[in-house]
Amino acid sequence: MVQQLEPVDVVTIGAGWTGGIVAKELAQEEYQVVSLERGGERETENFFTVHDELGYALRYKLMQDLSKETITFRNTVDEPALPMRRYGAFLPGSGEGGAGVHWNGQTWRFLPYDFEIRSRTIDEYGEEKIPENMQLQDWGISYEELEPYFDQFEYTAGIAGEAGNVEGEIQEAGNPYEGPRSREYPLPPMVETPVLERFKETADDLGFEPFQAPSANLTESYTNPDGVQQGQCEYCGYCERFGCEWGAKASPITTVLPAAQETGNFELRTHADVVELLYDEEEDVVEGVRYVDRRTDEVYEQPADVVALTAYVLNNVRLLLLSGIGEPYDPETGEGVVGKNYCYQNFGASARGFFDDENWNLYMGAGALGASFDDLNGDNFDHSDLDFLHGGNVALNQTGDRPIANNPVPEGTPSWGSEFKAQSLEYYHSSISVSAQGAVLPFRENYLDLDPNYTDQYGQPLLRMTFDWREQDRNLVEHIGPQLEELMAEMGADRVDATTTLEGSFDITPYQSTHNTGGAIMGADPNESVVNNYLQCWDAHNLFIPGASAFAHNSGYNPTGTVGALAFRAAEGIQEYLDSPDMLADAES
Amino acid sequence: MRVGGGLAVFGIAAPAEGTFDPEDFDVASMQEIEEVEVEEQGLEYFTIQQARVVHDLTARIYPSDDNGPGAPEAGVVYFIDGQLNSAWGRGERWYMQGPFAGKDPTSPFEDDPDEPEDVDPETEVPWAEQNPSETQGWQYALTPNEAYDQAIWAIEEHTQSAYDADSFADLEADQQEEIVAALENGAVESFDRVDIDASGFFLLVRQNTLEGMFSDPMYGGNREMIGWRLKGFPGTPGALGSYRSLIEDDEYIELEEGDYRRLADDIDSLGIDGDNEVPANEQSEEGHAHVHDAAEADYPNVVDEAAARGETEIEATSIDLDDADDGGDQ
Repeated sequence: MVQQLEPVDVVTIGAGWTGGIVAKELAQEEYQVVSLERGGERETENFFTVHDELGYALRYKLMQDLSKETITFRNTVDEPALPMRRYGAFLPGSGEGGAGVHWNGQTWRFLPYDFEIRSRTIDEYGEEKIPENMQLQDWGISYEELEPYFDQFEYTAGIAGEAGNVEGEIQEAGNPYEGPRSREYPLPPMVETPVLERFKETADDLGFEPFQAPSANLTESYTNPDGVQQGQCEYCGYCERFGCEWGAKASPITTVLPAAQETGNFELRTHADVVELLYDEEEDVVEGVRYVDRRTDEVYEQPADVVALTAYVLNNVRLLLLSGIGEPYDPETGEGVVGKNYCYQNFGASARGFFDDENWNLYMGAGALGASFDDLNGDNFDHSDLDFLHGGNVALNQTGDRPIANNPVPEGTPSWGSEFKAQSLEYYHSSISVSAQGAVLPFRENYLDLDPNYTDQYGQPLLRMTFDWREQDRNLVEHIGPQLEELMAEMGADRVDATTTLEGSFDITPYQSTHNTGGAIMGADPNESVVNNYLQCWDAHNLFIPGASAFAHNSGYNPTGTVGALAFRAAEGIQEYLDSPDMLADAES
Repeated sequence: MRVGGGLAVFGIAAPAEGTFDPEDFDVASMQEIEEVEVEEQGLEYFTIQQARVVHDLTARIYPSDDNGPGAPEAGVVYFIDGQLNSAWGRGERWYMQGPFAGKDPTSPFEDDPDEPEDVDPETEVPWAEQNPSETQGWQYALTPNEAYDQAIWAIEEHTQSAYDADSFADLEADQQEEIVAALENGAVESFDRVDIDASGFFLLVRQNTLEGMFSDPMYGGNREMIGWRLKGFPGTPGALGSYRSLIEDDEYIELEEGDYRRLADDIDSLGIDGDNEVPANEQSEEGHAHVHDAAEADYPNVVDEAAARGETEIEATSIDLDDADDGGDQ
């Protein structure tokens, strides 16, 4: 029997960064907010035994339980999709704080170019520059419009970095290519270690403009504008896939959720697994959500004036499809919107250096401890004679070389036996790598829909991912890869193993990045997008869908900074909607 | 990320200086390696015979040699045995619903009452004839412990047919190496009769061997931190461990005995000092003051309740709790 609950003002589906930001913002405005989180509760005190590479990094303690729900995957539309049975390429989180607990903390603003990528490409190079199957779209919002929300996120989280552009003034130490920011970062940048220094000096010699990468690993103890205090990063080298026992990596559980709790207007319900949004198609509203309490298997319906769909990218898209909201995307016709423009991240270009006469303390580190340059990102370089668009941020990150996962050996070394052992011991302290975080642009046949065969624990269809690399991705790697090879050689490596081509199809087996994006994209035209620039759903006026699912393409950066900004934007939209329930943006087509 | 397949061959490098001195280890010295044997006591999943096979497999993958002890001394077989008797070994968090490509009958969903209503007939596939693409990851109808059971059976079968021996564990080291190479190349015929292929099993046992060498000793491998000592990895920092005062140093820290599991931690201040040598981080002046500060700081928490309720507009401020520890910038 389904139990009906009392209505609330706002319900969020998930309590990660996006759900937490929406919950905090609205609870502080005296609205009653409930967050439904499918996983359990988490707090900093849970992580006093977190320095366990096997348990957290390789047995995925903080990740979604795939036996209950996973995705299916194929490279092309004419293949059968098969389930992702165990973890590989990406790692969706579960539990309070979501993937915002186990992230590395690399916090970027997308470039002004990104938000107007189609218009700017046409202005600069003409429409014929955009390949036929590339569904490049503007986001329906400009960087300038988003700037205050980026600022809000950075000051809420306590981001450490060096500004490169404050109100149009280029700053010597920072990234000269970034969009103008209204003020400095709240905290000074992370420390410069010997290998980061080497990277910066060499990059500078080669004519690039290196800087210290922005970080959510806090460089000082910090009290944010909500009066919530976080600790100082100790560079222990356990960030990605781990929680922080110091409370020194900004996450929903160290920032927005405690602030939301403090209002007295917020309730977090854990083990609450949302299975459907209750959609009234005629009224264009979502009346509430249906969820299962995983501890009791009781089913509840929670009505709400506003529903914020703030699950992970893949779950956002899946719940829309399961609930029949919006027209599902069809790759044959290019029509429909839900599931469209799925993108990922292309780490194809990289160079690993092996140094015979130097050793560094590489087991020390932090998830967002890195040096970086943006000269090969976005449209920061001339693409007139190039056969691809966009690019990627280049970085050397010192995240902490943990011992199971790091056994660097030169190419050609056997993968086992005495020679493998000798080489991997030889280079454990003397091998470093640089890589480009390549943007992935949308193509007609890369998309998300429901799988016709495989189901989750409740018998509902799994989400199906269809994705492969395109010429765009391969050409990008071929352009950037050799430059990384040269950079690493100039850094003094005795041997450089570089990847300068992107071979074969996208493979879901090796870990690459959890930067899945798209599927419920934002835009100005309801025929081309799922949400408007307030992240409000065109087909359900009281439904807001912040998150990387709204990205019209993926840039050459980690997504969380932009995700955070969109969530603050959505929170403002929700507040306006609650004051005056209506569409907040006019449709353009 | 994987690197492409170059063909350059590297010679065996000399052992990294200071990484291994048999005198440092309270375990079988190199002369005694052959005597490291599997004992029945303590096995949780394997039979003694299975364990002998896995013991020797892991010994070939990460051998005891001139570079120091390997999988036998680290107890990797006990690590794997424990893992197979865990939720991971039973595949409890893996998606194990069928159908399985290459295994299950054609059109498995035809008579399935739970079949989703919107099945598009065009997407139905003859599963038994369908080989999964290599890019689709693990598609064996096996949990890890089933994979080990079947692979060990296939390896023994192969040993008996190709060598004049009862068990892989009875072969000479060079014969075992031939078999491991064949596993890696997917060229072991007896695997045709099981549900995992030889190269898939090789990847699994190789990964588990590295895990058993270098994971926390609480999992049964990496005994006496052998793997960490081999690598010069100082051990996982304990709760509240810190490298903040060390990370900017240009100097590479040559680890000494007293440093393992202590480099990042101020044992004194935590009140659990042992009788070892002074760890490297206590040898410098600014090395450890932060631990005292951390004990005083109770974060993260709401320090301004009015602000957290959204009732005040405060400027973002940066509160430096630990003035005593500004020495890291030298």
